[in-house]
Formats: sequence, C-alpha cells, structure tokens
Amino acid sequence: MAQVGVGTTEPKGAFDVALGQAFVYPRVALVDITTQTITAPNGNGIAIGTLVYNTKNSGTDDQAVYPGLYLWNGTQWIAQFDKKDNKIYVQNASVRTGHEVGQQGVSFASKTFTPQYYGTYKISVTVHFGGGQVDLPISADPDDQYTNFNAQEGLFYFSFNNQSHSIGLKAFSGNNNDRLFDGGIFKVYENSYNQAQFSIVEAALEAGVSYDFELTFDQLFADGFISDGAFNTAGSGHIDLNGAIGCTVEINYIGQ
Amino acid sequence: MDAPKSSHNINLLIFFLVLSAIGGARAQVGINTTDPQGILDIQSTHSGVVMPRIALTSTQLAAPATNPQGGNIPAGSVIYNTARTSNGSGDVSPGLYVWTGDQWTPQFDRKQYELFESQLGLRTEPLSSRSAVTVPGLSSQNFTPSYTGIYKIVISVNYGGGTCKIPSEGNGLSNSDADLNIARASGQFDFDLDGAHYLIPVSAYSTNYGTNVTPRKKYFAIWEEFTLTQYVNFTAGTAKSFNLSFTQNEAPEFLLDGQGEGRGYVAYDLPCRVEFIYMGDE
Repeated sequence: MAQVGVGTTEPKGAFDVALGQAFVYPRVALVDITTQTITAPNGNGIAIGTLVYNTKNSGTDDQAVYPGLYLWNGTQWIAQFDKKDNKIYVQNASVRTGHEVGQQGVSFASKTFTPQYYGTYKISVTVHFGGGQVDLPISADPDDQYTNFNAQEGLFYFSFNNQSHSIGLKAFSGNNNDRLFDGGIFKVYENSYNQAQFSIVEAALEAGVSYDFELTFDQLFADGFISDGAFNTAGSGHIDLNGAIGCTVEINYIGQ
Repeated sequence: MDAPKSSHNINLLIFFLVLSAIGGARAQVGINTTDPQGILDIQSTHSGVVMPRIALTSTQLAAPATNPQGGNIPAGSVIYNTARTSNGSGDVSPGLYVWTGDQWTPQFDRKQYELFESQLGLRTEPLSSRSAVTVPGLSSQNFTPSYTGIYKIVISVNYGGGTCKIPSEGNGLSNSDADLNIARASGQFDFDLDGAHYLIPVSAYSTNYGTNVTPRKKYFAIWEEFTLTQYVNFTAGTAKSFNLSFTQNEAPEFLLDGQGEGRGYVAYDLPCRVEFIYMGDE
C-alpha cells in the first residue's frame, strides 16, 4: 500500500504532513448544511468523509452553517467544532417591594442576549423573595409568650421573546416575643427568603439577533404585615442581594 | 518535532501520484485510489491522516505555523496542536485546531465536570466568637481546571434549625398564653474560592408546642436548600483551593440557647455540594 509523506520520508499514516506548516483545507462557502455545494471530481455526489473549511455564515435557521470545519456524513454537513454558548446574568441591586406599586423590575447590568448559533436554548431563572415585617400582635400582658406569623407573597414575571412566564413565591415572616426566653429581646423575623428556579426552553432562537429579557415582581396585598406590605415600609418584601446571592438568569445553548 | 528530512523526494512522490490520478484539467490526488472522490482522497483501512504536529503558544498567534509563500496563513489551515499552555488567556490544549483568519479554534469537544459533596450530619451551634465551622468534605479542597475559560460554579447548601424552646405560659390572661413557639434559626455559608468570598445567608423555622398541648409535637431540621450559581474565569492547570464554612447566628429561642439539642443542622438529609462545569472560552 502506498503512503504519502510531506516533509518526511517515513510517513506514519496513509498521509503524513510533517512540515512546520499547516494543512490547508479546501476553502468552500457552503450554502447550508444539506446542500452539498461542491462536487466530486467525477461530477457525482461527494463522498462520505469529505472535509472542508466553510468560510462564511450562510443558510437560515436549522440549515445555518458557520465558519469552521465541516464533514459530509452522506446526508448533511456536520460541524466539527464545539458549539458552546453560555451566559449568566446576576441581579445587581436590591429591591424592596410593595403591594400598591405594581410590577417592579429586578435590575441587571445587561438584559440582552445575542445567540451565537441558531437553535435551542435553555433559560434557567432563579428567584428569591423574603417577606417584610409582620404586624405586632396585641397581647394583654407583655409577659406572655406569643408568636405571630404571616406569609407574604407575590408573582415573578419573566418575559423573553414576547412570552411571559410567571411563578408565585411565598415566605413566612414572624414575631416571637420570647421575653421568657431571652430576658426581653423581642425577635423580628423578616426576609426569611425562599428560592425557586424554573426553566424555559426556547426552541428556535436566531443567531445574531438581540433578545431582551425582563424580570419583574408583583407583590400582593399583605394583610397582617406592617402597612399591609406597602412600598418602602417595614412591611415591604425583600428581593435582596443578601451578600452575593441574587436572582440569576442563565442561558445555555443546548443544540439545534 | 519531526524535522523535514527530504522534501525534494517527497515532492517527487506526490507528483507521481498526481500524474497517476489526473483525469483532466483539474488535478486530484488519490492515495491508494485511482478514482479520487475529492481533491485529496486517501483510501486506507489501517492508516490515518497524520496532521502537521505543531506546538502552538496561543490561540491568538498563527506562529509557529507559517505560509510557505510568505504572509499570513490562510483561514482553513489545520494542525494538530501538541502543546498545553496555561497563561490565562488564549490557552491551547492538545488537539485539532483550525485557523479561522484571526485565531486558532479547537475542533474538538471540551468538557470538564467535577462534583464535590459534603459529609452528612453536621451540627452547628452559635459560637461566642462567631467563628465559622468548616463543612466536612468541602473544606480545604482543590479543583484543577483543564481549560482556560469560563467555569460555572454551583454551590448548593442546606440548613435547618434545631429544637426550639418549649413556650412558657407566663402570668398573663389565658387568651394570650403561649401554646406554640415558632423560632427561626439562621446563619451564613461562606464559600471561599482562593480568597474570593461568596456568601449565602440561610434560615429555617422550627416549632415546639407548650406543655399543655397533647400530643406535644416539636419540629426541627426542617431544612431549606439554597443554590448560588456563578460564572468565573479559570486558568488551565492552576489549582483553585476552596473552603465552605458556616457561621450560625445567636439562637436564644432554641434549647440551651442553641447548644445541645438546640444546635442547627447542615446536610441533615442531603449533602451540601459544589460543582465545577466548563462552559467555554472567555
């Protein structure tokens, strides 16, 4: 059997390029993944295993090709490179909520995502919410031990690509008069936040198109909380950064 | 690296093959075939194609690959890179790379995933100094990235309170007497990644009924899980040390003021976890 060595008299394979130079693949501007675009020397269809370097973005939607190596598998051109496209957005300011102010935005440094590839993206939204302070219970005798607990709640709305998704989240707040426990230090439990995550799948995002998302929260009327949970009162709910933890929006490319 | 030994002879060999395969004005090369199906058709059942083996220094530098005609190397140039670099940007690892006109792009799948889990059953108590306790299994660990680029870190922690105190009736009117104590235990996890601190405050409620309630129930270790997700940039080959610790807040509403049965619970049913996942170039 014949071997060919370029830059070597001892080829270590059927074809061995051993110069300090690259192997330059045929540079072809493919039309899309199912159009052969090129032909075999005898004018017939191209053989399985044909490799080219595609020079341009071309084709639309799931037919799109991007610059890089492509291999013909008999049916279509298969990209030989690793398609990774991942981004995370982290809340960058705390929010105090209120029942009477409608939807309040959760802020991010950027709320725009531009896919590198056409295809399916998974969007994972992680939110958290903690209630404000509950009303003081009325006790006939300050020496009595009592607890007062109420749940505050609201709805997160995440909008992306003209669709809105909502998730409700509740959290308990409370007062604990433990004068008999602790020598008279009154306990106020607020911002005992709960966390929730939901995922949506966007099946056909377009490469190079900018998509904006919005994350808002609408706190409900909170009877039993100070000022009924009105904005900027002690009864207001919390979407705090709490150190490093914040609401996050993560977008991951998961395939065509 | 293999040095060129006798390119003159080799060119002759190729020339011979080209002649033997040429069908018309367009030249094709067939190796072990007289009917090449492409510009270069290599038939073999036992040998592969050996690509130029070049030690790249950066994805941003074409060198040491050269264009024999001078000037830049063209897009579509392919080499097998033999080097692994760890400079923090533009790093390469062994594998097939193609020059896309302004950089070398890997033509292979890069994946790395590592999961670290804590041991179960850590009891926590408020310390007068508020000094942190480390979470066994997640303290003084190391993660060594295989690639330079973005890693996703997922830190999942869980915490539940211990047994809270039995409420006491006091001396007031009966309609305000206590039958139930609901108390919150709280604290803060600190994930220390080589000096960068990621803080996760946590809390959970426990309950205990008064002694006059039958049957008297108490609920503790009602843990809640919290997850923090971050993307960070790592450098290939540079080990990152990390440490997960927890500081419990004062807990006077709990038995023994948070000592003994009043201690909190970390990883009661479920380990705390730290995951590292390679996500791609910076």
